[in-house]
Amino acid sequence: MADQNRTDSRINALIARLDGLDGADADDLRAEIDWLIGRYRRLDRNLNKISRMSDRLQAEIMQLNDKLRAASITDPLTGLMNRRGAHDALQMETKAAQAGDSKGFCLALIDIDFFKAVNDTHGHDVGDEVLVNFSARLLGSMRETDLIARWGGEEFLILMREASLADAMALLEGFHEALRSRPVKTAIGPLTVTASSGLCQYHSNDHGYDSTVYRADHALYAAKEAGRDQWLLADDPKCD
Amino acid sequence: MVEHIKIMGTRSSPTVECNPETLVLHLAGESYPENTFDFYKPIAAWLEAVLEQDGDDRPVTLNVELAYLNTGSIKSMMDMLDRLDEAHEDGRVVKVIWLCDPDNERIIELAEELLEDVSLPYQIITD
Repeated sequence: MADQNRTDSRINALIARLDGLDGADADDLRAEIDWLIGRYRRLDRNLNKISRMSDRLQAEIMQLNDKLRAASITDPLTGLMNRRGAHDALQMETKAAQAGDSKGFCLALIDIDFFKAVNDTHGHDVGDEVLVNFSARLLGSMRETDLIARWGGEEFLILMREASLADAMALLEGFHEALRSRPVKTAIGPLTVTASSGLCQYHSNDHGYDSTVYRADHALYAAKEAGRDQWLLADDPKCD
Repeated sequence: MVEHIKIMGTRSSPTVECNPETLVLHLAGESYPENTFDFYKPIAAWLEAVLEQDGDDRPVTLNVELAYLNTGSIKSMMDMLDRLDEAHEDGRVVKVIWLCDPDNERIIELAEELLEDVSLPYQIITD
């Protein structure tokens, strides 16, 4: 703006000086300078306009980037975070725990029992409904600070931030109990669904989150082996 | 004689035709070429040659069907519009027709913004 004022005052001074001149040369000069002034004003106007348009485009690109980022970490069926998003969240949570910025976390992997049979018996649409409703039930059972992700086909991951092991056990037990006592709604009627889970607490000697996930997965496998419809803690002797 | 320019469009650069018979400059597609200045240089030169041709006062038409322009393309478009506007002020018959997809609000807004400062006759068609 200051530059604009400075330029304008010089242009006005030039016009005032030209007004005092006479003769054909002065007229030519005046016409030439008028043209240059017109050109200058037009370029200046265009530059301002381009800046405005460019800023708008950039803002739109940023918004699109945000949408793409959100889509890239969301599971389209359930609306939960997908595995990629869960990896990012686990990495951040592990770093925070390692740096002493958080009290750590508990991690559960939950797998719907006999899900293949649901698909085979009732079809994939009903299978999808079970996944969607199961996800909603999980969301409803956990705390707002917990992160729930679709880890694979019928497998879900719960990251319980800053949860003590006692808190995590109570949350998980509550979910299993609720699932047992209230069937999942589907278009063909209510279906009784059970699940198996593995739970573990982050240890400072876990090498990255991979080993935390591995321990939860191991406990989940043991819960399946022990007859399903239950959860097991990673340190449980049944997991050995 | 001014040359006949035909450029096949790509994903990032528009289809161009500069016709010396009809004096219609037609641009269609999306415009975000890698080097915008180089891309538009021969087109601007064609327009300049047409407007500077001695004894030719036939009407000149800029026909635009661009759905997207990057910043460099916007600058090139502004330069061409300014040149046409100058010719219009000097008495040449010129016109601009911009055909927009009615669902593409962004391009309609851009066309309006680009044409709001010119005095030459123009039409923004959205159907």
